[in-house]
Amino acid sequence: MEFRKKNQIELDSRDYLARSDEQLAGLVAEGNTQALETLYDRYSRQAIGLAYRIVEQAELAEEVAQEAFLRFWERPDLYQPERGRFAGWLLSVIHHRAVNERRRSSFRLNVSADKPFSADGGDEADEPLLLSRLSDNAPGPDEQVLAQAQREVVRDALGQLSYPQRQVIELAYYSGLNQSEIAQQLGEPLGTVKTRLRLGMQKLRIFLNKKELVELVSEKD
Amino acid sequence: MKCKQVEPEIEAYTIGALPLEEMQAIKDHLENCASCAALLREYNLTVESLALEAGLDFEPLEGHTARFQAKLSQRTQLRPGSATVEELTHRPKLPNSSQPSARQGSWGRFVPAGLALTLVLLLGLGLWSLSLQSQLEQERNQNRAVAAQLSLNLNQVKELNEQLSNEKDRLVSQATVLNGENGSLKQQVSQLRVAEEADKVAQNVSLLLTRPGATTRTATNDKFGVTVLMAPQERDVALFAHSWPELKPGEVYHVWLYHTTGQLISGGSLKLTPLPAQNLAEAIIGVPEPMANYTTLFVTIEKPGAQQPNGLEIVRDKLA
Repeated sequence: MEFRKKNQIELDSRDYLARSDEQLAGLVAEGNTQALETLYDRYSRQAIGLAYRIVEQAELAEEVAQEAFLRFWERPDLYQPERGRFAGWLLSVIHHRAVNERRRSSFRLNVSADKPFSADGGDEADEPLLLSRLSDNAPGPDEQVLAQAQREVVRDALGQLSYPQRQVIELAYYSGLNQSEIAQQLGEPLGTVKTRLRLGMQKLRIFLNKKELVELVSEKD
Repeated sequence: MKCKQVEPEIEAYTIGALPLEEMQAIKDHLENCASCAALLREYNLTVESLALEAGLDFEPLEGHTARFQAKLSQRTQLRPGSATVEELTHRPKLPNSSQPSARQGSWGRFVPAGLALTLVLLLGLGLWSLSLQSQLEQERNQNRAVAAQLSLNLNQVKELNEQLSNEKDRLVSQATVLNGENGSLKQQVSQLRVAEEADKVAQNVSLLLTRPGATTRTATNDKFGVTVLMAPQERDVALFAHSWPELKPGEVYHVWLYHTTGQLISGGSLKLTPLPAQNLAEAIIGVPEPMANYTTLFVTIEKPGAQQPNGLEIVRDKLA
């Protein structure tokens, strides 16, 4: 309690803005609401945008993203810094929750009878099945500039894919469909879908990792 | 599950494209297998990029921050172990005093006893009052000490604020200098990237020229032209653009192909590398199947991620 009081009084908004995501996450674990609000300001656009892309309803997307932030407030121990960057973890949680929400909606409409990845409500439901992101990049104070640069790279990367490759990746990631469901929806053999998804992801991985390498080398030069 | 079973599914696993049971089985395997976990880590940036891409042009609903703050405020009261400032500074109130009640009775019979009792009560009240005063005095002293400490803390906070403000000014000034340097570095990196792209394209062009059946074809219209270097069994094709129109912000060149089955296929967006000759640029694109399986290639100007050709068509070449 004493630490919480101290932090709330002695830090002003400039201190929060200068802190990395992981430092702010640490303060959230100590009960610091302003640290959580700073993280929300930093990532709400991407978080709600990701949820919207999946659930396709603005109010529901906001609800899904905000609940993920609030769940982190209630259970800050769910984020483990040694397993990766905060942003990657947060977006994974939101993706997971949004896909569950989309599947629940589909189930209600009897469009899909498949069950969601996990039952809602338990702590395990907040932990995505995917492992958290692991990265050696420590986010610095110029995080926002880097994010902008990363966006340009993402667009370039997706531009590398052929339409069928992009289509199966989008159906999997943004619509929450598995490969069999995609094959059924497109009327394509399962093997074709698997190949497109695999090659597309490999192409993205090579392009993005190479870009990151070039960035690192450029920074060192 | 064994590594041999996990490896071919790792791409699908990274974006959750497997049935629940399979996802769980792979997750269990990854927790105990360092080499498969390392393979998965190679996709971290890819998956994070897909997540970021979704929010690129997204505008949240107005007032979302205020709604979040309201929810947070509500949850803060419920969070175990969290306390409000009032709770942190709360001091217990003094116990309510209850007046001792004098027994009512017959004066005549109980006067001496009543007087004695009254004296005892008065004495007790006096002592209690003294004790209360002493307690209040202690309380006042403590409050004065706390007030003095708070005043001291307030001064320290003011000093710290002043220091931070000076520090901010210094950092802003440094940032201005660094921004200038950063711009110059970015320009250098950009030039290096162009050179790197040009090298890559040149290597691919040389490679294509050695492939069986490699041909070059040129198609032109009134304004623009394209030379296509391709080999029937290759999935790479080199394009040389003649005097193509300049792109506006938010536009890309997009390649489209007609398959021998008649199906329209997207070849993705095209990034041109300028060549020394005026109005000439080149690019290499990858297509899903060998070039022999396509009958026509054409290029349009689109917004990124277009799924159908809607924009201005620049050039078209019948490959057959």
